[in-house]
Amino acid sequence: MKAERRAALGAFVLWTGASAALAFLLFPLLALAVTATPAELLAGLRDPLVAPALVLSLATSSASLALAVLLGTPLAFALSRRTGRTVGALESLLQLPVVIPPAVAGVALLLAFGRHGLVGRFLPDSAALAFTTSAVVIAQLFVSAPLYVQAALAAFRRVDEELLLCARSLGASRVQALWHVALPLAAPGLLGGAAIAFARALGEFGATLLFAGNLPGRTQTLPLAIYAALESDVRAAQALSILLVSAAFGLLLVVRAAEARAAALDQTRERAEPKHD
Amino acid sequence: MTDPSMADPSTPDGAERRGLRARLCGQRGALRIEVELSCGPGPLVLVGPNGSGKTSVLRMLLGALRPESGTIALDGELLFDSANNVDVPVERRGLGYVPQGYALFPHLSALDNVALPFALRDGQSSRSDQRERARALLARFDAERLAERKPRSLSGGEQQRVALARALAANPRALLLDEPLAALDARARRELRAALAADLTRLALPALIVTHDPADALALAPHVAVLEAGRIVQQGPVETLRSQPASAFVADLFS
Repeated sequence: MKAERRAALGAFVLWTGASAALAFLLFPLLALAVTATPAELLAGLRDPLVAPALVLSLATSSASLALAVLLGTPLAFALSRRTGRTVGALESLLQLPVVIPPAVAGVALLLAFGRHGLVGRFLPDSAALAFTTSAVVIAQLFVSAPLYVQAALAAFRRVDEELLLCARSLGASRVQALWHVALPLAAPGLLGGAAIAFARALGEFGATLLFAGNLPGRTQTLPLAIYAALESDVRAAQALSILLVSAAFGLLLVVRAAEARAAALDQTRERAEPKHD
Repeated sequence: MTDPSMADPSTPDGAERRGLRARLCGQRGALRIEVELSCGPGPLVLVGPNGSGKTSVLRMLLGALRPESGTIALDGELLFDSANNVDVPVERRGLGYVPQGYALFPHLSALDNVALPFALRDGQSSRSDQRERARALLARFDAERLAERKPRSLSGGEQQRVALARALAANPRALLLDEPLAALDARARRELRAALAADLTRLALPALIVTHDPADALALAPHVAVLEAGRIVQQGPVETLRSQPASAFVADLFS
């Protein structure tokens, strides 16, 4: 009898806890969706802040993604073919921008590329980076590229070294082996990494605010426009927030699909390679 | 090229220099590898137990593992020479490689697996031309009907034939096969031994076949080298190894 009651109590506590956690996590999103009528939200989207911020966000996030893929793919491939303490240490260092607070990233970028920064002091005033659209891209790249590199590294590590060696023996240079074998096999992982990096860039706020400022049309991306709109037009902020949530959700679906594809590829790879002793 | 260690004084015309000749020294973990072998015109089987250094020897020949010292020559051309800093990269060694498990590219059809070397070597030829040549190669291995299939849908034996065709597409001067039968189940293995032996004879290329299975060795080549703990303990025709084994290990292997 007693044991049964204890089990029932346990189940009650478990379900209450789980429901509370679920409610807490979803409630704010629900609030975002239900506290305004569609008409109000549409009106919010017509706020003069919105269009330039949307265009700027798409342009800068696309640019930072392109740079992350262009620079991150060779880096990830090179790291994936090496092991050892140096590579491990380098990997940890590369992940640092993901976990440091965005405000710290902003300060670091200012000290590096700002007007009086290590690099910035050598740039003529006409080429100053801080508080320009370039600064937005740099801030986004700094915080989002590590996410791409991390995903690409994992994807390349899953490519069997023997396949690359085979390609080399068939006449492929290292670059050709990367192009014909490693890239197609790592593609789902790279796509997932690109989606995560794009989402992170799209949502970048802290580092952008410190390093690029909040200048409408030049550095005011969607998250900064939300911040600005809160002072003037809450409905605009809400509409933009819903827009960003939708984009994030879409990107999440891409990541999930890519992960499923990568897992399926792994499985077929195991099957394609007959077991040996 | 002149390398006294490679040339055989009994044949000054250099006929002995055809094929793959190697002297390799290296360390793999606790295992010291010191091997001298010559392969060609026909196939040579390198047989030894697991951990004897077979795969390391093969990877050194292929260029995937750098020996500490030694020389590797193919048809008289130096591929590796530690004394003179010669180290031809994998893609220019002219060695066809059939790895353990075959390592077909899982994202490409059997046909495109075989066509890839054509695409790599002469990028100016058209894709349909490359595929035509690949199809002809598959046909030579009686595997034309597999052309559109992905590797994961092929049996072990079918994968092996595609892998052989792919290796030949790069027009190699010698073949390296790593445990070509180990990935097969016992029945397929018995059936394919004879087929592979016939293929290797037909190709008339120097071929080094690495295996841990004496039965494979007996079936695949008239010449066998026995590797034990990083050293070749005996080398010669199977009959000699059987009738005059140099050690208890060799005797045991072919009993």
